[in-house]
Amino acid sequence: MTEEALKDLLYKIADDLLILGHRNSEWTGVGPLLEEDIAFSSMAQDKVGQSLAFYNLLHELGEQDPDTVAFTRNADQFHNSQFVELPIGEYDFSLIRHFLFDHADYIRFSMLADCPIEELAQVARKLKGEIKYHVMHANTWIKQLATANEEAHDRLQKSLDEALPYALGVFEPSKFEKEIIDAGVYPGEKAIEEQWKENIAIVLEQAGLKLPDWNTIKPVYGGRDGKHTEHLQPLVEEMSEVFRVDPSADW
Amino acid sequence: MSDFLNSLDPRINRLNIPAEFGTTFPSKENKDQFVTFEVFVQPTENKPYQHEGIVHAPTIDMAFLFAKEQFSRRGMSCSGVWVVNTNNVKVSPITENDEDIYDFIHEEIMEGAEKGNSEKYEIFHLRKRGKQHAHVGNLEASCFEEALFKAKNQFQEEKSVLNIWVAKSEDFMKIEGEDFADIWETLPDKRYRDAMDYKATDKIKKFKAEQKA
Repeated sequence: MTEEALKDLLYKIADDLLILGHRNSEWTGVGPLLEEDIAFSSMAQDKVGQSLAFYNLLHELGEQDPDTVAFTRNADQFHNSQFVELPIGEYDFSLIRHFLFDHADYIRFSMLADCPIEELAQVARKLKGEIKYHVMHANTWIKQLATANEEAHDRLQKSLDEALPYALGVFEPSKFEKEIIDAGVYPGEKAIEEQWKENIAIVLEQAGLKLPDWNTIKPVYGGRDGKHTEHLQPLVEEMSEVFRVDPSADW
Repeated sequence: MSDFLNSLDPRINRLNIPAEFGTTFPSKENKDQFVTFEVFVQPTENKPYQHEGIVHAPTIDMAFLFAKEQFSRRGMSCSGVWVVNTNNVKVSPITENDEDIYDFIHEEIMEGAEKGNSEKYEIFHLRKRGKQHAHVGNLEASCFEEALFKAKNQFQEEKSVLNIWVAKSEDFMKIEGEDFADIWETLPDKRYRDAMDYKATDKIKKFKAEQKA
């Protein structure tokens, strides 16, 4: 497998985590209740921390240092899926995104934990436990809210319907897909997607939420190649504001 | 329930207080807070669980979600979290001046207690004012009062215990052990969650000097 293929994989994982971590941190201080505000912010911080682990791996492969990579690129240089850059919306949407994304990431990290590239496997094994809690958090909330009352249920269903095409975009195959699968790095995006569909279906059924026929949904691709919505550039600018004021700031 | 044990939830005791000046409290049922859950954390394996605080939550599952991030997000390690509805914790009177609460516990406290089936109760001690309640163990009993009486035989210490909490084992949600060991694993790497990790003194000094100049 070429180094280019490995970097492509690491970038998309890292960028998803950084952008979603930043997005979810927008709930800090305005969460629906104090305890949840802290829990959701804490998980957002976890995601940024997880992205750092992958930027560090990239740095070891000769890419620039994590701060430079995180804070000096423009939107079209990011490889995240469009799903993670969408605005936080109301809490139902943020929760649904958290649920859909973290279920996918848990499968991804479980697969990468067995990766023959030891440095990558180590990072995946280490971070998998954090994501396990994120999934517990998401499952509990979705079940609690969806069975609470009609309004909560309907809001979640609507958010789910809106989120699914974007969520499928997380599994956009890379141009190195075959190379990566052949090298045994992990079984590939399609394999994650299939497992993900099974896993989320179990929880959604318990929650009384409906999944549409998958054939009727068109995945929103493009993010992995730097094609983004108008929402990403303002996010990147806000995220890098402090860095641009003082690039030597230690944080 | 005998007079010796009370609910840990102060709201239970406040509920029937009549409003002053003949008025009644406006009903706030629809907006009322969630119930509270007591949170106990085990800092490392083989150390006793200790009380860390409370969370508000609609269910015990959600109480755990909140408890984990409220009370184990800082610090170097954690190996388990227990949550229990505050209403399910019974509390002994509190002693003053280093009197041992166990010295006030005799067979009579069981008078009037409603006995049920024998089951497991968890016992917690407060050894010093201002400290946290710490778990000392569990025992089989048929009611809270019996649990307390039996605790005197099993858990009385050389030093005074100021206050005791008793709760049924089955009322706890316990997230611990091998199945959950991985969810705490990265805690030692999260020093960025502590203000201590942000060293800005030099920059602040420089900034202040510039402001003066």
